[in-house]
Amino acid sequence: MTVPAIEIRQLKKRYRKVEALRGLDLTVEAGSVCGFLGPNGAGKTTTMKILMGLIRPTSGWAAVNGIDVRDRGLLARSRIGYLPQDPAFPSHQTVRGVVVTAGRLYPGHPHGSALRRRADELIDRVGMANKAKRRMAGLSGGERQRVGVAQALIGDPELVILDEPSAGLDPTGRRDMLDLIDEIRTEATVFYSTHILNDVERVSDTVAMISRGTIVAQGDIDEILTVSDTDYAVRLRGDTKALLARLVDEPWVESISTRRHGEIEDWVVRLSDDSLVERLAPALVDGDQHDIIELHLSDGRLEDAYLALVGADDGD
Amino acid sequence: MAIDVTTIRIGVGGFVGVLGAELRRWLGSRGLFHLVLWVAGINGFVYFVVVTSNMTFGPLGYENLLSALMLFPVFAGIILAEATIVGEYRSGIAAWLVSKPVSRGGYVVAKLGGLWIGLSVTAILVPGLVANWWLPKVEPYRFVTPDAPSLGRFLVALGVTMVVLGFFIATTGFLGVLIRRRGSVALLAMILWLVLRLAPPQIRPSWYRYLPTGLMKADLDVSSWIPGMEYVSGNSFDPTSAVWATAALALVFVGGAMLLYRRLEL
Repeated sequence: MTVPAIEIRQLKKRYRKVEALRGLDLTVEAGSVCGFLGPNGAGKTTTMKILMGLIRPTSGWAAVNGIDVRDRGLLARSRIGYLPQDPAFPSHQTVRGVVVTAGRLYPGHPHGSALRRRADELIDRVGMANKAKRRMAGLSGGERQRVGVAQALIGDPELVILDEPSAGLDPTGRRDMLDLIDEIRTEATVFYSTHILNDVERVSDTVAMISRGTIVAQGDIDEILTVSDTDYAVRLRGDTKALLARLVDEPWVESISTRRHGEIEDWVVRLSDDSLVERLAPALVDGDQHDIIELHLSDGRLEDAYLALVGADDGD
Repeated sequence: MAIDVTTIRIGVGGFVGVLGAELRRWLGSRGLFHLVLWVAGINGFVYFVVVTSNMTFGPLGYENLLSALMLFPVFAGIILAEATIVGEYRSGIAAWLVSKPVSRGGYVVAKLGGLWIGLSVTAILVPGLVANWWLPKVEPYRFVTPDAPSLGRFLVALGVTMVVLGFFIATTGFLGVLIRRRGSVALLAMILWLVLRLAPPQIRPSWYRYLPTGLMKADLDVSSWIPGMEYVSGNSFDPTSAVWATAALALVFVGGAMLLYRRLEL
């Protein structure tokens, strides 16, 4: 049996009065690309920082390739490449200097020209070859992000952890970053966090959804997207508060997840039985403060699954 | 935490990597900048004092040289140690480094050690040796002894200054990990320098001589302000116990900084 790339059991983290992680359980299989999906403040960065030994859990256990990250943190980190959310590198160093410096910190690293060659290969791979001699201080956020990926790969890690790798990138940068993640999958397990659903659908084999410090779903993308015949996607416009209050009290409604985008509100309504859609349609029509734009069986889009599982936790 | 041969090997590798990166900075443009600054600054200061002073007694040139080395590089060490420990903590560079296979203790020692080595060479050793070359040659010749001091004794005096520099870098590093606020850390370390350097002997307890004070300020009954100066002059002043005590205190502060850093959330 293959040892999971990441195994987390009952991980808890409390910051004074805030409980950032509430008994998180997670398994990421070796060789997979796992998207770690959740709204801001859900606990994604906290989880990753614990794996990297940057913060200590209040309780629980986490291992990378079977190595306990608390007891044998150095050994665990020698097998991980990490891109932090807001990567900070010495501003006086050049792009190549940062990647070479990172390379020298790994055991058994190549020396001298071999290390510089390897660094140049990676810099080329992230599309920064023409800026290899530029100082970090003069780079844009997107360029720093690319350098961050190159320095994460320099130790030939078995696991690459990327915290919001496409955050702040323009559309071209985002596409390039996803292509890069797709390339890395041949060399290492990739565990990356994001709140961009399209990114996860595009490059991930598996997904773990986190909400308020716990995993609400994890597994293959296909499993997560399995269509439930009791989930209905509803798109509404206008004031929906009264309608929502009325529907959540109905015994045949199991749950309602909502998300508002300006005037439009998307719901995923889970019914206790698929035949009950006959009650849902008239109930939605009742009331004059809102319009129904769409009502259909949830079609298995990640967005619907996410909405159903994470709901209105966004921005927590 | 489990410690075995592999972990030690990885930890040593990470420490050497961070220390190497620090020392390479000192071998590059940073080192050149400091070298020029300190050679010109320290020697210019001593030359100005020696040539413009009309005082004809005492080993004025060397006295001023050692006083300057005990003041300016030490204050620079305090500011740079604060910038390193607090600055890298706040900027996220420390988090970047310790997310690699680098132990937190190794990070602290490599950063403070690299700074100490770099500043000792560029701000104390080289400027001191340059001054030692020209000081006995200037007219009017103001050194009290007929011959220039022995190089060995002069190097010992510079070594004592480096120990004091190491103590203040270590203290600032400890305060930096403890307080993690720029400005207040350096201010506290500078206040400590003033207390140790300027505390009047009347209010000093007898054990005070074992603190860095024993290396920074002589008692009033000896002819010089700087204990190392007595040694340079060929006298039998023995600062040995204060040297060991200061070095030991520096190690205690480094150890304290390492322990505190292990608990920091980055």
